[in-house]
Amino acid sequence: MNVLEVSDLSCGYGATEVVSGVSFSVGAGECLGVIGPNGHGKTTILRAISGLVPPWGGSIRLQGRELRKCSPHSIARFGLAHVPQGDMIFPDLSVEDNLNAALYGAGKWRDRRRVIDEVCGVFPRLKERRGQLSMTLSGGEKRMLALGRGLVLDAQLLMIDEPSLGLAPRVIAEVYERICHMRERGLSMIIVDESPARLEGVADRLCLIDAGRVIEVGPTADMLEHEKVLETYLGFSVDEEGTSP
Amino acid sequence: MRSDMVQVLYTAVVLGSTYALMASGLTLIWGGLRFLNLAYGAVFSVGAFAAYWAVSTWGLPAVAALPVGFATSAVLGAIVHVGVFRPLLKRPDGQTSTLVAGLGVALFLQAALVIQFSPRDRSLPALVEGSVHLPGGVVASASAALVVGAAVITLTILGTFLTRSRYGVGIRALANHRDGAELLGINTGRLVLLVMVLGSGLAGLAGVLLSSFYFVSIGAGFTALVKGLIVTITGGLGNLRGTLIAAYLVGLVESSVSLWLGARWSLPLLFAAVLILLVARPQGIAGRISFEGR
Ligand SMILES: Nc1ncnc2c1ncn2[C@@H]1O[C@H](COP(=O)(O)OP(=O)(O)OP(=O)(O)O)[C@@H](O)[C@H]1O
Ligand SMILES: [Mg+2]
Repeated sequence: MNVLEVSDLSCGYGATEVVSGVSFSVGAGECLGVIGPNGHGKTTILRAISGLVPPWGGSIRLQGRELRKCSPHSIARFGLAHVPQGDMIFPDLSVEDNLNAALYGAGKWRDRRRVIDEVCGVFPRLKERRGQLSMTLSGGEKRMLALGRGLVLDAQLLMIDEPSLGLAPRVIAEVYERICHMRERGLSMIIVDESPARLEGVADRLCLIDAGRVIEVGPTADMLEHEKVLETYLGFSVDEEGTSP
Repeated sequence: MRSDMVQVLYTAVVLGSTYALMASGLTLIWGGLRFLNLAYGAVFSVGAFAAYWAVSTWGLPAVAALPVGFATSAVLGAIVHVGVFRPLLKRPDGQTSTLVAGLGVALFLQAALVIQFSPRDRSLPALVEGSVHLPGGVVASASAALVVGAAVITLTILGTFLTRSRYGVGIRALANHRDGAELLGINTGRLVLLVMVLGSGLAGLAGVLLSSFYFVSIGAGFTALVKGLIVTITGGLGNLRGTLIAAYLVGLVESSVSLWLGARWSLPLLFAAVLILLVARPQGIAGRISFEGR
């Protein structure tokens, strides 16, 4: 069975529809990459799945359970971890308390020592900075912390929105290395990245979003060569009959 | 040490403790929810009057006033939150409308108290009797010592709760980033209610403690709100340690000014000192200007 099944999802802000009839699924142990240009609704899709934006229509099923009318905290407890764009870390809390907050939500407060030690095993940087106030972390460290919190939740599905946003190339490589590490644990994932090339070797399939619609879904290697991906990114049509600008 | 110095310090400690008590609930509510609860003063008075009523009607021992005041105000806080603040906070202009609604609730509760109890001041039986002799010839009443002790204990418990307990971590997370907390599975709606209940309960507790020290009066709630606001804002809104420092600093300014310049100067000079501090350090003693999204 698929871990996540999204069908005909639409949502938006105010009266503006941003996501229109989006359908896709994530299989067990699969990693789905979501790509597409800036401002075309990738973040909004994830926010709708995790309940931060109310869906207008369609259905979202996590392991068969309908999420549409649920609040974000119950969705998180059903087994969905969302590492949001911009990290949403708690600046006034120490690194350790940021992780503790995730344990509170996951109902594993009593096991906090063990779980945090384990997460620090995956993110050695966090271990060094355990007691540090998280507002003083560097951008890369904040991203690691956000990922670490996602790992603490021990979810059925982990969604990561733009793991490379605002980071230097060397740090991006380190973040993706950690993500691969998490992936080896068998986690099902959705990773949003505006650059398809960075998802090569990480995602099993890519889903191309443009103007709030799914344009194409396919295996990563095929998608990287796909004319529609090139078209979306390069801004012209490869197809002769197409209406190129 | 000169005896007037001792006198000033003694008064500063007692006043500071009363201010710390007045401000504790206000700070908790601001820190957790990022909104200023202007009904706070009235909730403070209702706690004190409920305790007065229970003790005088049922002939309860004086110490019973403490739990009665805490519980009444806590329940009242829950009702006001669910009935007034929660619906308003859902709206985009929630911050402003809760400010006005808080004032409305305060006026309503104050009027209700006047109708029920008449505007006359009442006195609660003293919670403790006797006096304590301090070096320098200062005689401290046992009630004053109780207020100081209660402030220290209450704020220590509150601080430990916020930094060490599971709910405390959740409340601080929610204060920093509500959506971020929800995404981690934290039921923020329930924690917000907990903050309102605890914060209001603390107001009631402070109301009882201070009424046993001064009087049970309807105006006391307003004084508590104003002093609580001065202290919380000076301390850095929502910051417990800053609030504590600010409470004792304000107490010190007030007590030294009234000793050396006369009591009528204490409030004007206090406001001047607070203004200067806030111009120099808008974030307060320990606070920082909040930058994160909600
Ligand atoms: N809170 C909001 N209120 C109103 N409009 C919004 C809000 N958030 C996003 N939008 C709009 O929705 C559209 C899609 O935004 P979204 O953040 O989902 O895009 P994205 O594909 O994630 O972009 P990026 O790659 O820049 O992160 C944009 O036009 C944006 O302006
Ligand atoms: Mg985005």
